[in-house]
Amino acid sequence: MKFNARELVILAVFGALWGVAEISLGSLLHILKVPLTGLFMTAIGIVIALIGRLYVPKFGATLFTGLIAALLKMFSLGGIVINPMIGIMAASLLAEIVLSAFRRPKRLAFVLAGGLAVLWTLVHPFFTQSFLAGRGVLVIWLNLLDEGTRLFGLNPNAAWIIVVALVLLRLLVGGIAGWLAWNLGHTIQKRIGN
Amino acid sequence: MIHTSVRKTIVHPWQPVFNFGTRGYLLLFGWLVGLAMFLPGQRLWPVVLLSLGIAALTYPAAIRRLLHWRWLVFFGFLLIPNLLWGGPGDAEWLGVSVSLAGLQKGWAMVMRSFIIILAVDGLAASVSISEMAGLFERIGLQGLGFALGIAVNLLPTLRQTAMQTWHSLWLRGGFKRQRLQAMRFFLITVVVSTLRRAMEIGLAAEARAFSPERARPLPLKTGRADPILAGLLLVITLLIAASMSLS
Repeated sequence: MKFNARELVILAVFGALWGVAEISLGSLLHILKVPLTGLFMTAIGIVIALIGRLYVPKFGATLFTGLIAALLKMFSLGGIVINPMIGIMAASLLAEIVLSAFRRPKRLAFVLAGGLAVLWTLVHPFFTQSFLAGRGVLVIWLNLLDEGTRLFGLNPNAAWIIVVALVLLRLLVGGIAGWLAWNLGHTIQKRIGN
Repeated sequence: MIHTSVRKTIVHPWQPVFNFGTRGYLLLFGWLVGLAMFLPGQRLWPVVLLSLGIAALTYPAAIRRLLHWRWLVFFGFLLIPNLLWGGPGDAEWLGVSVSLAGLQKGWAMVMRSFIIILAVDGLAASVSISEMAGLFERIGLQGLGFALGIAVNLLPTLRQTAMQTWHSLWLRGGFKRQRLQAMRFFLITVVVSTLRRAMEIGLAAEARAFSPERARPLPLKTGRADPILAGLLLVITLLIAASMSLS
């Protein structure tokens, strides 16, 4: 991961944008206990990081953006910051893996990267709440099923259908985020003139 | 007439007794989080006492923050549902059936959270972001300190740009209809303005022949007590391991 000064500045801008979104909007939504906060914050963050990738199409650029955003999250006033920091790093790492598999930025790569990054929000509670807070995996699993039941109005006994629906929702939101990032990124490139 | 004022030295009640270096604080953080994650629930209370003692000596402000009502409510949320529904009701308290197994489980969760919050709070209070960036630079992430410095300096610019853009759109009735389109305009304007500002910073850095590869990593604070701390933590870890293997 070697970047020149100009690339570092661009990555800093996008890292700062993601960080600001997490510190302000993310903290507010968490305090208000808005459902699916993690999902939407990851989608917003990944849109920003993917636009940055259009400007610095190099290996490690998205991960670097995520690292800056995660470090800025330390400025967050309330709550435990380590969980969102892990979330930001994991989402940017997953997006980085997909983007690195494609040699050049492509719309398909953006859609897949967005989908995979947002899919992390399904695994995130198992990782953070189980390892860090010591909650049982079963409790987290039941919470997940409860969330699915409330969202889709499905029968709580149809566990696998709920999980598939939750996975599809995340892939859809992430895919849209990737698509949006591609469009917005090109619009910004046109406006800025390069 | 000239008055000479005597400046009183105010001793802050939450001042640390020991000051470690960056590596020392990171070691302490990793050690506490590691113990919280891997020790079984019934063995956590000595770690809680230990972390309280360490926090009192190194970052006492973290203890004060833990006494905030927000954290007490959070601990209550961990404890009470487990007490009521965490297992089969094997006792009665104020006419309500409670679970002692659930209480044990909830208590372990409270202790784990307590240690982790103390460790994170302490780390955030004692290690600055630039020191953290310096550490990352040393492990191969060159330019992180520079990028992080720019990101932090851009925060006020971003806030100002976002406010101005928001007000401009609001005054033109941008959010009354086609809200999605207005949000798109908002995002594009903020990104373009910030990018332009950042390009100027990039040009200035290049004009001064700045190169991330040749830049020295940001200095880390070194503490004299770091090796003592490392030795002490190693001894405690060995004692914990020995007590676990004996039982």
